[in-house]
Amino acid sequence: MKISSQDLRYLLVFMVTTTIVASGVAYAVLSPTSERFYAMYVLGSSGLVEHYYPNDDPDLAIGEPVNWTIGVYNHMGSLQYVVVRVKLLNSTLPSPNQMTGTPSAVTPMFEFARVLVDNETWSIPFVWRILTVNPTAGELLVTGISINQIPLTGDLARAVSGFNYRFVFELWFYDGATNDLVFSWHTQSTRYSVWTQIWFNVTSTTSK
Amino acid sequence: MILLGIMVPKVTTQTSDLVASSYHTFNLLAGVYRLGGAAPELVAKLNIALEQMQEARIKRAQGDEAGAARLEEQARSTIAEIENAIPAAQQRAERDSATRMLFVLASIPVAVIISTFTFYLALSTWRRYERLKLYEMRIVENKKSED
Repeated sequence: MKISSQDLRYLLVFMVTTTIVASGVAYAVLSPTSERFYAMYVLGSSGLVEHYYPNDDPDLAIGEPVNWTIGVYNHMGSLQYVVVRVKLLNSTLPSPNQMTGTPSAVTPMFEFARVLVDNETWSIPFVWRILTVNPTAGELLVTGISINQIPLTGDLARAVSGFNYRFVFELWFYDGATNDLVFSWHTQSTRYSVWTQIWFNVTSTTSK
Repeated sequence: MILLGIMVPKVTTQTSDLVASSYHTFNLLAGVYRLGGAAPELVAKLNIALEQMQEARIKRAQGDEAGAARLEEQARSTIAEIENAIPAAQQRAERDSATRMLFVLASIPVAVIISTFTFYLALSTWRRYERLKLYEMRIVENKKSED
């Protein structure tokens, strides 16, 4: 069948449009560029954002088991070597700084390391209890903690009257440029870091 | 999953060459994934090596030097196994990546041809319909003029 010059023009316009659209789709398929981020969260004993303490009471006694789950999600678009560093602080020790990407200066007491593929979520059971404390001049010094049945001892953290301790969880990851673990990363002009914390008190120096 | 910890005060006496090896192996594995490949079995092995390293750290902190050394040796051997398997994974990833690229690039003209042909069929059907309508109108007009 003979094609009129007008229809030929329509066909050409359609063909060019389809080529542009198909190329765009192919580009999107070959180089997916979604927003890149890590996520980290802590869940309570029921696996939800609740029931963080036995009987929902943040005033813990010696030996009282606390059952949390730490979750880490990798949405960086690539394989990642991540480390969760656990630190025990009081209210006056400096927190990690989101603006400057600086971690807390406190030495980590525990670490979890894993390689995560893109879009993988890693759930880490975190079962802990206070083992020993040492009351000194209005302060309470935690000297023993068990994390996942591994006892840790030393001068771990002190707080006035045993109030306002906190576990800080920092997410570190391997950076190929520095060949080391780093705490923050840049996306365009913004600096990101991932950390979270949960507060508790140790108001009783005896077991419940 | 095994959960591992570090005794307090911080114990960083783990052989640094082992940590460096784990970073190096991770870099190689990440390269495989950057090429668009996947090696979940090697990732799982590297995670086992990381667990062994951390267990070794705990053992050392607890004073079990022999146990720590044994675990570190196991981690070294696991890492060596991964590194030996990486060239094959890289080749596979390169091949898969080239195949995927070819498939996507080849699908562009195919998509254009199929959709243009469909458009052409629709257009020609429309033109045929228009001609039929015109023909029908002419018949009606001729009948009117005959009457």
